[in-house]
Amino acid sequence: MQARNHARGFTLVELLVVIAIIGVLIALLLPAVQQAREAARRMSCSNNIKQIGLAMHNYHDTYLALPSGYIYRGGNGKCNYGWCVAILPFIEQQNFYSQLNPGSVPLYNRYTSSATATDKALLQTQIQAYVCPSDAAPKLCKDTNFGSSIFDVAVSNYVGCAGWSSTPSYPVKDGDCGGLLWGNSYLNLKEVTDGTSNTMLVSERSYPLDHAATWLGVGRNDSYANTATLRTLYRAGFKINFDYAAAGSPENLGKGWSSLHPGGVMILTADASVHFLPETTNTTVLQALSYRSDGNVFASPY
Amino acid sequence: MRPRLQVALSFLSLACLALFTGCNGDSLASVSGVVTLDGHPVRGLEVNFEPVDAAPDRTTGTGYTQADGSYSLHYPGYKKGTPPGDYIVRISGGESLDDGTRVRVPAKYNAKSELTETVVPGKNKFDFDLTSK
Repeated sequence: MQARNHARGFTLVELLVVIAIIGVLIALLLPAVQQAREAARRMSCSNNIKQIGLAMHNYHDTYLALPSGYIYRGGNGKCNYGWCVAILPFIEQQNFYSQLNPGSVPLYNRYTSSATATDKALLQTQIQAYVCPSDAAPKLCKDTNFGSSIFDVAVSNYVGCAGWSSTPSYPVKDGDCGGLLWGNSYLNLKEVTDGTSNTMLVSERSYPLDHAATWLGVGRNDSYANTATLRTLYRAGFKINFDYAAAGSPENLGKGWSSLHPGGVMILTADASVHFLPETTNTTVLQALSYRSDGNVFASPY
Repeated sequence: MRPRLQVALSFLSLACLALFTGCNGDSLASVSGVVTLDGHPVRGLEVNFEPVDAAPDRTTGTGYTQADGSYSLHYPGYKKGTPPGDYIVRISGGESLDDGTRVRVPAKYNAKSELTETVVPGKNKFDFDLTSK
């Protein structure tokens, strides 16, 4: 009787071993599930950027020029629409574009302290195609204002490449910055002599540290602060996924490029192809990628 | 019973091993120090540690000086510090102000820098005394 019992049952140690093995298997599986979710979000972000690239090329086919980084019509300190608005009809947002009517009503006539409820609702509309699914952003940007603090405007994540650093100039007024997008740039692709696959057009900016961007355009046309022209553009001279506040330069946050994808950012090159750029990419490579006609050869980082 | 217990214990220790491997993060060395220009601390200078070899997994670590001249390096990926290795140090007037005023630092400290440092694992302290000639 006793012998039979001993043969049938199992000991406490065996039970613990089984629990430990199950625990190990779960511990191995859980991070994989999280990474699969992030991989899916990155693919979705990659799709958003691809659509922006196709829209840019359709715009180019229609008007024989890329959209300008932002519209500059003179007048110091005025805000105006950026490249995201110019390509709205090409990402199937024709109705929204018609309501916004940027051809007849400039942004500085909508973003005023006497803005009507309709104007405010338009400028606070979030466009899903301009939002990275990985980013933890609120609908309205409360942390960095848009030129002046009249009201909070909609958040988006995609920013256009103005160039590298201050040479040849900053993105203020209609100064050419060596990249592809600045005030009244309207570049034809033939001017991208480095080759469209070797020049960056669009990248992304995340919210938690850099306060993302806005699809509206520039908050001021005469300043390269993070509230002004760099609200919708970026300069590649700023480091990827870099905590400027902790490094001792909080003035520089929100001017560069960043994402919540682990290890780097997504970029769109001017040939409308999408790549993942590692954050450890050499600065000489980033510089060559950001200029449209510097003539430098570089080893592809992707 | 005794060999069974041993088997069970070895299983358990294996499980613990499996749990704790893969938890070692990439180790960055902390780098800090003080920069003075003609003997005075200057705020807003950009200190760049550029890798000597162009390895694809290493890039430039950057810090900005505070009012007391102190800086600490940070690294892309929202990290503090920089990977150990050999670096060319480039110190320039960082941009932060909208009117474009920058502190002038001679080219021998940035574009034509001859400053080199070796970062070792752990804590590093590098002070730089610059002269504007």
